[in-house]
Amino acid sequence: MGQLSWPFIILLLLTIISAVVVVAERNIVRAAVSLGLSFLGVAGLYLLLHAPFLAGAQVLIYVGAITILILFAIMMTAQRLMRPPRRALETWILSGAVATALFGTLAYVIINTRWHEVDRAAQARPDVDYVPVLADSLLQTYLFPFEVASVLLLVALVGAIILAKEERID
Amino acid sequence: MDGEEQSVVVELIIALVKIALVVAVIMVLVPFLVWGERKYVADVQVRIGPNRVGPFGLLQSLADGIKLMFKEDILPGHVDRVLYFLAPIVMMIPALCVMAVIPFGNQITLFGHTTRLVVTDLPVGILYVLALTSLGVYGVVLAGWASNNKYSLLGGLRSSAQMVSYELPMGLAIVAALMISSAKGGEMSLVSIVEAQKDGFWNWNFLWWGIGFLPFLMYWICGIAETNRAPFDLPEAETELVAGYHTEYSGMKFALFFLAEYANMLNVGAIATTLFCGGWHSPIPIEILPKSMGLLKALGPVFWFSVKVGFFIWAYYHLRATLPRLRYDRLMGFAWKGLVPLALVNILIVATIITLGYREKPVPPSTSQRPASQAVGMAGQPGPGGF
Amino acid sequence: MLNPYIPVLILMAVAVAVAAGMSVATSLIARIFRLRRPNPIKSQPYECGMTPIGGARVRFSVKFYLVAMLFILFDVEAIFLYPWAVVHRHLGWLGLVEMGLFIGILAAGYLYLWKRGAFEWD
Repeated sequence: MGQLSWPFIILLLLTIISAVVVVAERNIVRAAVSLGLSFLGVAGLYLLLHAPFLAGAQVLIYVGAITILILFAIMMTAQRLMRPPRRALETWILSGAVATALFGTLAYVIINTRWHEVDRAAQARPDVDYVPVLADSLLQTYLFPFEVASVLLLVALVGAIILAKEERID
Repeated sequence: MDGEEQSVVVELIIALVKIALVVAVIMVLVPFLVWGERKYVADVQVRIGPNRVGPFGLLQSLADGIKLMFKEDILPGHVDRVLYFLAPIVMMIPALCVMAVIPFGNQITLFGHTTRLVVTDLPVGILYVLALTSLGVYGVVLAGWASNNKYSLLGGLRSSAQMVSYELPMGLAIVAALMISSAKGGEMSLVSIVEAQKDGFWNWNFLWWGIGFLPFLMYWICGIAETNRAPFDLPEAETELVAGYHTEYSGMKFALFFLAEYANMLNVGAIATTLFCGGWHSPIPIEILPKSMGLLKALGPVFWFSVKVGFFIWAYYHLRATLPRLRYDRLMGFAWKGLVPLALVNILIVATIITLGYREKPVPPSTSQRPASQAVGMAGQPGPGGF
Repeated sequence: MLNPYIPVLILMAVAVAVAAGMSVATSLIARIFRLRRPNPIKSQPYECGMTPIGGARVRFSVKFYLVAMLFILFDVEAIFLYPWAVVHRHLGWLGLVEMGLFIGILAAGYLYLWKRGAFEWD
């Protein structure tokens, strides 16, 4: 309880520092690469939490697909459009409000979680991420959310094509 | 407790030796692979190929390497320096790391320590391979963008879109391979997948009941496209894009792209061998050598593994020598309109056949096969302090 | 028992060292032997000897973006298939029907994409 191991500290530093770089870096492509690095750090944290499958999925989807999509999106806009954003007052207020709300929500959850119970539950079932167990719970216990996920993906597919095809008309 | 610590240290030393071996073999093999390709393609085209440096031109790649090392290190103007330096490194790291989970031989006993010939056997090995494969795109995208060259950018984009498109059917073909090997008791760890293909070539996944051949073929095609090799070598279509994403690279940074390409060829061959062609198993399950020839016997599986990977490397050469390059729209259409639906239908067919035919052999539920603490690979000490 | 992820970490460190070492080595050799002689023509972007017109950061087709988006969605689907692939024979027909439904819903989306011409590269 309470002790910090060196892999945890290294991964924590990797995740946080690259996340700060994402925000602070002016060059938007470098910021995106740094975001990928931050996701990699999160995958490492999942590994430490005994969730290797989740870690693999994190790398495959967040690092290998979503960050690539972000890079593509950046390259799709012309370089001229990538001037440093203007620092208007309303931008500050708006982004500040969103950030504060997000921080407040996260802080509330973190403070109000009874971590001892979570820890005990995790020790009672250390096998929840063991792949066969994962499959069983996906296809039996959580069957309905699982099928809903496919509907969600379907909606996203339709959204993707509409987004791309609308662009072509104008 | 003391003995336990000692055995961990021994295991660590063994792991270090294996890592050094794997990295050294890849780095030494690549120049000869390049030479072999040049010789083979020359032979097909009725040329002589490299024959000046060393016997049969064997040292040609070495000479090329030295030349690259002493070339002027050109840094083109207007490049994004950080990403320009980073791209070849990012390309090389996953190429070397994939080999960590591939079993290249059976157990071997040296100086009283028995160890498996694999750097590490992860319980989610196949996911590790896929995750690293998906990181290969970064090198291409970043090199293309950082170079500040139209050819590089277009080549990088084309290449990354191609890699992303073929990664999908590749993953789906691997799902089919997992299903076939799980019908024989395999799991997601690559060692268990190889173990499930023992006792003769008719048990190898690509031949098993005739349902493994299609995923095998799909994996191989996607593997070629992932490594950007002919006939899918669009990104470096020299008539259109000069050299694609590495147009502006010279010296050792260019050599790194080259190394990564050939290391990736080895990886794809090794994964195809592991998933579909029985890994290190010999085709016929007959013990030829007596038990007394311990070390030689242990090297037999390494021999079979090398032969199989060598076959795939030869196939790479031969495809390059015989097939013309695809057109880009055909290439993307082949992935999205051909391979993806085929792979999805194939998964359902394979699942149906296995469910139909393989119910009678009762297998204990794999959840009870091994304790969970071993499954997640930690030493039993939970929490972030697990290391 | 040695944690199986430790060798992976070591191999990654070795890979980083090899790759970065080779990159740095070129720069070092270039510095020692004074191999770097840049001039304005040489450091131009390579365009087959022509003087480059305009910057390299041209806008490109939205198709690439669409490919990346579709890749994410189908990749998520593939991730869901992996655990099932390992245990599907225990789940039997019920599991197959459930997974068939999952793939079927996405197949409907796939057919819609095909009809809308998402896979035509023009």
